[in-house]
Amino acid sequence: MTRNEKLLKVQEIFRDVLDQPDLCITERFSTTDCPEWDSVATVQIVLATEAAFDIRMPMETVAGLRQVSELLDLLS
Amino acid sequence: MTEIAGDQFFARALARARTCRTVGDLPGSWRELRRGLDAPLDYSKTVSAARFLENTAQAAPPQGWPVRRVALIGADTLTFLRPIIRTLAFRDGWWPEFYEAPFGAWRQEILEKTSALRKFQPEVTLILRGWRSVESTNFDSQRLLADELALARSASEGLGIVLWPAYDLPDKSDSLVTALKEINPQLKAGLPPGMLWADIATTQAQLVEPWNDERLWESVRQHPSPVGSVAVVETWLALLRARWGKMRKVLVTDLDNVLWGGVVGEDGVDGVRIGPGSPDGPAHLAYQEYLLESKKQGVLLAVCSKNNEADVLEVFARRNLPLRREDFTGWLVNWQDKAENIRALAAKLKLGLDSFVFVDDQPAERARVREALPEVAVPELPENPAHYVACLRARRFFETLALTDEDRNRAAAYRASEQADLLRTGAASLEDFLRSLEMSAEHGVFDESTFERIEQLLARTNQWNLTTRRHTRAEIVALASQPGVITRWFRLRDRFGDHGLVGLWIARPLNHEEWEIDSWVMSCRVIGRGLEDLMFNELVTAAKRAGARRLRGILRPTAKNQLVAGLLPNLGFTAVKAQSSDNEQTFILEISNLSPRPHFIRTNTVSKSKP
Repeated sequence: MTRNEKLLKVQEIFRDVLDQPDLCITERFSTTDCPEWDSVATVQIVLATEAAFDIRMPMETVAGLRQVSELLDLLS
Repeated sequence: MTEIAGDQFFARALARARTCRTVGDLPGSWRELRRGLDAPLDYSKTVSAARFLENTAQAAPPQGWPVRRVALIGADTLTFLRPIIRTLAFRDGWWPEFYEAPFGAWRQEILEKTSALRKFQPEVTLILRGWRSVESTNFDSQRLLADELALARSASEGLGIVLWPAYDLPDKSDSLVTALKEINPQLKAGLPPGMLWADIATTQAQLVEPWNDERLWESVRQHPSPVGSVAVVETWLALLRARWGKMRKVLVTDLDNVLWGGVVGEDGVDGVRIGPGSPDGPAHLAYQEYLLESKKQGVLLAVCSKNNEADVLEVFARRNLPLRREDFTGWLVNWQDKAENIRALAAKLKLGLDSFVFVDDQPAERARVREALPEVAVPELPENPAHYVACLRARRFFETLALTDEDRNRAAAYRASEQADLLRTGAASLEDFLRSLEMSAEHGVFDESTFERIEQLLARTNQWNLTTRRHTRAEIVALASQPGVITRWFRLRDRFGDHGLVGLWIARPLNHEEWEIDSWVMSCRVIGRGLEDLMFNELVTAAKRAGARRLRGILRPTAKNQLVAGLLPNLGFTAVKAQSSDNEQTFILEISNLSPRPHFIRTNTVSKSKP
């Protein structure tokens, strides 16, 4: 799966978690762009991403997750 | 454990809810989401639903829903629990307005009289603090217990309904586990009256998935695990439902592929599967055992199945089942619409539809009942029967605050009243009928042996209830010992059985000659027997003995107590202009020269009464 395909898959997760069906994200999309991306949302995004990609991510990195590109880095 | 089917069911409902929101149909979006919440819920679903709710409502609840101030306090991060509470409360039909104590400050918040918590004036206070907050070096269990009980005493005033938690446990077995296990029962026993015990330790023990999640704890201080957090909130909300008299009381079950494996009309009486020897037999056996256990706790069971009745009776007669025909209070084996069947059963049992849970493996039947009877809880069953019981247990439909003898004998009492109903159709007149029941009553003042049942009757009676005042145990005890206050409980028996303690009243003096009826409650299973006349005669006698010349009756109308709307005028009370602004009606009756009302109930024992 290319990085761009991963981005599209992650976008679905963000749309669902943030309850914004039309949301379009880029690699640069970050917590500063979206006040609803709080610690509860982060945990939810991580759990959903783990389920969707069938992986387990190191939580210490995840706790500091602020930007989509950081999430994609964890998926490669 | 979560199955794809339940996930899809929820995802589709949420998508429909979003569509409704897009076109501005808010009631539609509430309805669709609420249906989606019948799916087995995990952490992700509850949090998604909560975000939808908050975005859609922008913190305003659906119109007409009760809003309750909920304080969330404790030793660990509670932010993660908030969305779960939002969603599950929505499923239960109410809307929390939250206050969250600052991290780590819960003790001060309880103790300080001017804390933000106290200023918030919560109606419900939810507390969570677990083993992670315990200092395990130099651990002194007696001191921990003493500190916590002092804190609980301070929390028993001004914080509404308080749910005090048991200690949960670490995974590794060490001296801390032993100590906390010992502390829990002592803590429970030492709580101030009226405080509710949230048995989080049992919630943890019942959970199949991990409770402790080191990764989430180390990184974001979330404890317990996501799945554990959902279980905690289910535990809390079940206690609140019980406290508010909103617990479910009847389980209506389908037969084929639910109570047993296979279809009796096709597989035959000997072909249906139950117990060992087939892949799905053990699951159906476990389901029957769950039903039997629920029945012992006071849940009424009913069958609702499209089948030939003769086939079904033969299965019960010939196959070795844990459940017998007699275990079912409702028996709806026919080819009619299930929603109509349930509606008729509710009328017959004199219970609201919101007391019912409907269990059926057919998605179409579930959808039909959800559509026609939105008050009925219709859990979206997992496809694998092996998960039925866990799915139902997780919802905690039938949780009560404490189990009483009346709970254990409820099915028998309903059977007795069913036989009485049969007799009624055969009796020439109502008088003949009442006489033929050979009823006898017993009554007495509230005391230690009856407080529990009295609290429960006040908590769960919705229909035959004049004021719907849900007194706590502590309030009842206080009332019973207050000078001038008169109290009575009533038991009723007839030739079919003992109905147990089914009625009560409380009256308190307003001045030296006027007593107000604070509460007057009767269980709906003895409606139409004339017990209210006996209760009223006893009220007049006792009030006179206490020095009263007048009785003041209050009617607080609710959605459910229309049954007693005309009671006081029928007894001769006169309406007076209500002074209070809220929806209360006041009635007055001079009792000096009142003659007793006729009824057909013998009073054989009169327990000792206060002068």
